[in-house]
Parts: sequence; structure tokens; C-alpha cells
Amino acid sequence: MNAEKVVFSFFIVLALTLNFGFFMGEIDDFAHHNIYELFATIVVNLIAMGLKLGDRTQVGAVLLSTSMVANLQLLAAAIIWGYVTQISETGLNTDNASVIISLSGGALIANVISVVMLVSETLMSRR
Amino acid sequence: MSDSSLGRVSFIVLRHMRLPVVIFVCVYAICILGMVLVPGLPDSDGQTTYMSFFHAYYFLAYTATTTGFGELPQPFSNAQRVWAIVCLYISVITWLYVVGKIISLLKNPHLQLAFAEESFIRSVERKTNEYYLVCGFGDTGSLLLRGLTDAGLSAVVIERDDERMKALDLRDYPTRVLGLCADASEPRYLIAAGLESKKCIGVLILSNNEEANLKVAVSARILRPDLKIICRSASVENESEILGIGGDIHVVDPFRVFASYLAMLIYNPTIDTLNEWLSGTRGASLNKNICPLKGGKWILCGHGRMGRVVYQKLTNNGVDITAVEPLVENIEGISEHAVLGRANMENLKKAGLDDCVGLIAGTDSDTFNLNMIHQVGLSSSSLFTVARQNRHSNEVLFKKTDVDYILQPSLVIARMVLFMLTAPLLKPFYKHLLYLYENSPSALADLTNRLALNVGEGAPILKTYTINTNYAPAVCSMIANGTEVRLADIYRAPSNREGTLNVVPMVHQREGKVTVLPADELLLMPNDEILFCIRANAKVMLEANLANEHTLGYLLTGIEPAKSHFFRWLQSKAV
Repeated sequence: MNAEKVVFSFFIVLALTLNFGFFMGEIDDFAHHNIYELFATIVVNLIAMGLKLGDRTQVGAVLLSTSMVANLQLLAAAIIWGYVTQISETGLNTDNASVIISLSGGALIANVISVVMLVSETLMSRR
Repeated sequence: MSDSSLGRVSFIVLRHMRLPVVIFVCVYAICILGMVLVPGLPDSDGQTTYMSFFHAYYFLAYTATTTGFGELPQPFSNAQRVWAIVCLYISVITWLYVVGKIISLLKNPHLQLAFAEESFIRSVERKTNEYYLVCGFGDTGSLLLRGLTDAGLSAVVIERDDERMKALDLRDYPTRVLGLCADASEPRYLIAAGLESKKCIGVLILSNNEEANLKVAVSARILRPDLKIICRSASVENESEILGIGGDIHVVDPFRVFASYLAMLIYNPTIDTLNEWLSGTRGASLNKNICPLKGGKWILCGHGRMGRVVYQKLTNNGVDITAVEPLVENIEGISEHAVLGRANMENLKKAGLDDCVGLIAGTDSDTFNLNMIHQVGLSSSSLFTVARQNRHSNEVLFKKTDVDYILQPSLVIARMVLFMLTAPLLKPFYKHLLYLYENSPSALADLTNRLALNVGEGAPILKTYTINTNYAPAVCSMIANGTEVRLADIYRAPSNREGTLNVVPMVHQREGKVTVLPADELLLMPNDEILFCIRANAKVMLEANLANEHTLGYLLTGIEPAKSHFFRWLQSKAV
């Protein structure tokens, strides 16, 4: 067992699970989606991206890019949430709730790819 | 882009289309003019109307092409209808004539050739990877192309025979092989095939025509003084002339190669078994053991051009051999070791069939060879028979007969050229094998066992890896960091570094110094070349070892290095 592997995999898998947790529920009903969960997802995703920095192999490069995609989508979701609740007059309605949730859905796909690559690389090395 | 061939295309088109175009224009002009001049129906004021040029052209456009929309834009007068009938017949006939001309032009073989050449030149120019130029797509050429493309190399073919080019189109090579049907001895076509391009890294001249081969070799050398040339030549005089061209040039003599294979088979079958296996022959196995056959008498059928070389070679190796040859001028000088006549049972008996150990059916006719093997097989089964197979297409027949060993000159040459290109380090390896065979047979057996054990029964892959950033970036960066990388490290198994992958390092070369079977402790340096014999499924793993620094790091130390900045920082804190 390797401490690095434990920490690394922990954050990557946690990023996926939190993202999934936030995404679950009716897409236009924000009562099913917790804003704190979105916050946690963003934080964990950013940490995961930080851990991926500096790997010079091909797999490392693709892992990093999936994290970047996930972060881009999640931050976009957060910005929209901030705009509709704080700046615009409309507040959270079904229209902008569905935009936020679908953006996090996109990030979910990127996280799935990331985990699939992590698992397959581990299986490939057969240790 | 060659101006000459583009110019030729337009010239051919213009010359053929001149008359049709003139007739077409005249007919249209007459019809349109008539339509404009013929009076139409009177309008509401009683004035006679005339068709405008535009409407006349419009009418003719749909009439001449037999579309026939009717009387547009207004109903016609009877005068107009009469003229419309005339227009219809002459314009439709003109159209048919022009279309027929265009179709026959497209079928013009010269034009098709010009188009084919044009598209070939453009495709060759667009090639991004390095390629070999293969002149001659006969049996040898097609076998060689199969090997080249399987090894991931690219090639361009020039062949004179139209039928063979069609065969090239139908081959399912892993990569597309461009081909041009042209005479390679014309320098223009060599240039068209990209000989002058830096991406062309070698010319392989494989046709049966000695004179043409010589000419291609000379032209290639003049056009590209630095190019690698491999030329097939069966005549000694031509060979010395070809070698005289100088530079990086090799001559492959099919007869001599054939003779040395035969000698190898009789004299040291272990090496032959190894060679068969390394070449990836179907069904070849390291365990197959042909016992040495050099003890007894042999009969050679056919003492022509190839037979002569075989006879010489085998006699030099101490094999007692009797030739059977129908032409008296072919056995001058060896008449005491020869029987004159066709190789039928009677003559074979005369040559001592009953007390010989082996028979070589080596004429240049597959029919003779097959028949001979068949007849001999009926009478005695203990005889070791070797058949020369001249045509690749007769493979089925040869496989069916009860022959012990089939030697196919085209295959032998294709293999040899392929090894020259893909694994040039194999030559010292074979020299070493010969040395071992003569000096320590047990070491040879050990080597065979090692290969059988580590690489196994299936066809192996031979590949040369150079320690550079292209093939082995991880090894290079390790060495640059001052880490010692030994040969054993790069082929450890990534699943368990105590074990090894199913590969055997065969030859190592550093700055021209060649080591056969390098020791595992050897310290690797940049630009070392190593020839590996690899089990097919281990290639990916070996390449990952060379390219992935995490894997290599684990192989070197047993601990996988930290992958990212954060963990490296953490590690440096912990220490």
C-alpha cells in the first residue's frame, strides 16, 4: 500500500461522489439540490486538480485535463448561482436552476472519465 | 507537382475535345439564332412577337438535353414549332456526340495513366512519414511489402506490369501502399515516386530484370548520393558493377542466398530452425529438431544458374553431391559428379537414389519439382527431400506434397531484405550463432532454450530500440538525471520487478561496437541501440517500460516515484 495512491484516489473518487450527490434529483427543482454540496464538490475538485499537477506522462495529462473540464463546468454553475441569487432580481427559478444542475451534470461526466482512467491504470500495472 | 504531366493532361483533353466543342457551339448558335428570327404568335395588339435570346437559349437548354418542358414562356406559333423540330433533332444528336466523346476521352488509357500518375505524385508528396521506394512488385516484392507494412514501415511501389498493380490494389496491407504502374528504369518515374524527397529513406530494387535493376540503381545513386539502395542481382558481373556505384548499397543475390540457406539447412539445422522461428514462419517452432544431414550423399536436380551456385556451396561445405541435369553444357566440368538427362526415376536411380540421404528438387520449373518429389515420395519415404518453390501461387501444391522442406527463393530474399531494414543488428547475431555452432554447441542449445523459455513458441517480434527521446524518453530522462539504468532494468516485468518480461535482448550496439547477447549488468547510455526479441504480447509492456517514467522508476527502485508536484513536495518535507 502506498500513501500517495490512497490520498490521490480518495480525492478523485470523492470529487465524483460529491458531484453525483449534487446532481441527483429533479433538474429544475432546486429543493433537491444542496448548495453546500456544490461548494464541497468545487473544493474537492480543485484539490484533485492540484494533486494531478506535475505528472509528465500521457495518462497524467489526460487526468489533469478532465479535472480542468470538471472545474470549469462547476465554477460556471457557481457563478450562475451567484448571479441569480445575489445580483439579478429573478432569484432562483426553474429556468436557471436547470442550467446550474445541467452544468454540474457535465462536470459529472468529466469526473467519471477521470475515475475510469484511474481504475484502468491501476489495473494495467497489475501490482 | 510536375508541370509536364499536368500539361499532358490538358493537352490530351484539348486535342480530343476541339472538334466536339466547335460543333456544339455552331449548332447552338444556329438553333438560337433561328428561334429568335422565326415569328411567334401575335400579341394582344396584333403585333407579331419574337423570342428573346435568353428565352431561345432557355428553350434550347431543355430541348437539347431531352428534358422537354414544353412551349415556354408562351405557346409557339406553327413556324416556331417547325424550327423547334429541326432544333430538337440536331441538338440532341450533337449532345449525344459530345457526351460520347467525353466518355471515350475518360476511357482513354493515356489520360487515365496521366491522371493516375498525377494523383500518385500528389499522394506521395503528401506522405508525412518516411518510406521505402520498392521497384518491382513480383513475388519477392509482395512478400516484402507484407513484412514491411506489418513492421509499421511505409512503402511506395513502382511496377511495370499492369496486372501486378491491380493485385497491389487488392492487398489488405495494414497501411495503404501507393503504387504507380510505370517503368522504374525511367528516372522521371523515380522522381515521381519521391526519390528526391528527404522522406524517401531507401530504394529496394527487386525486379527480375538484371539490366533494369542496374539502371535503377545507377539512377537512384545519381539522384540521391546518400540513399540506401538494396538491389537484387543474380549475375556476378552486374553485382560488381552495382557495388561499384558506391555509397550505402547492398546486393542481394537470390541464388547465393538460396544456396546458403540450403547449406545452413543441411549443415547446421539448429540455426535454420532459429532463423525460421525469428522470421515468424507459420508453424515454425524452436522445438522442431531436424538432425544434421551432412553425413550422406545428396542428389541435386537441376544444375542451371541456381543449381550451379548450390552445387558449389554444398561441395565447399563437404557435402557429397550428384547433379542431374538435362542440358549437357550445364554440367561441363563436373561431369564425374553429374548424370545427364531429365530428372525421372531412371536417371535418379543412376545418380544413386537408393543410397543417398537427401534430394534437392531445384529446377526452375515448379511442375518438375513437384512431380519429382511426388514420384520419389512414392518409392521411398526415408529420403529427406528439399523442394525449390519458384512461384508463390503454387504454395498450396507444395504444402500438400510429402516434402520435408520447401525453400522459396522469393520468400528467402524478402526475409533477408526485411531483416536488413528492420533489424540490421541481426547480422552480427547470426555470425555469433555460426561461431557458437562451431565452437560450443552447448551454448547454442542454451540460447535456444532461453529463447524458447522467455519468448515462447509463437512468432516473435524483432525490434531495435534506440535509447533516445523518441523510443525511450523515460530512460533518457533517468540517465540525464544521473540515475544508472542497466539493461536488466528496462525489461523487468512491471507487475513484479523480480521477474522479467517475455523478451530477450539479442544485440547491443554503441558507437559501432556490437555486443551479441549483452549482459544484464550493462549500463545504458544515450544512443545505444538494442535489438530485442519480443513475445507478441510483451511489446506494449516493454515500450511502456521505456516511455513511462513512473513504471521505469518502479522497475529501478521497487518504489513508484511520486507522480505530481504536491506529493514530491511532501516527500521532500518528510525526508
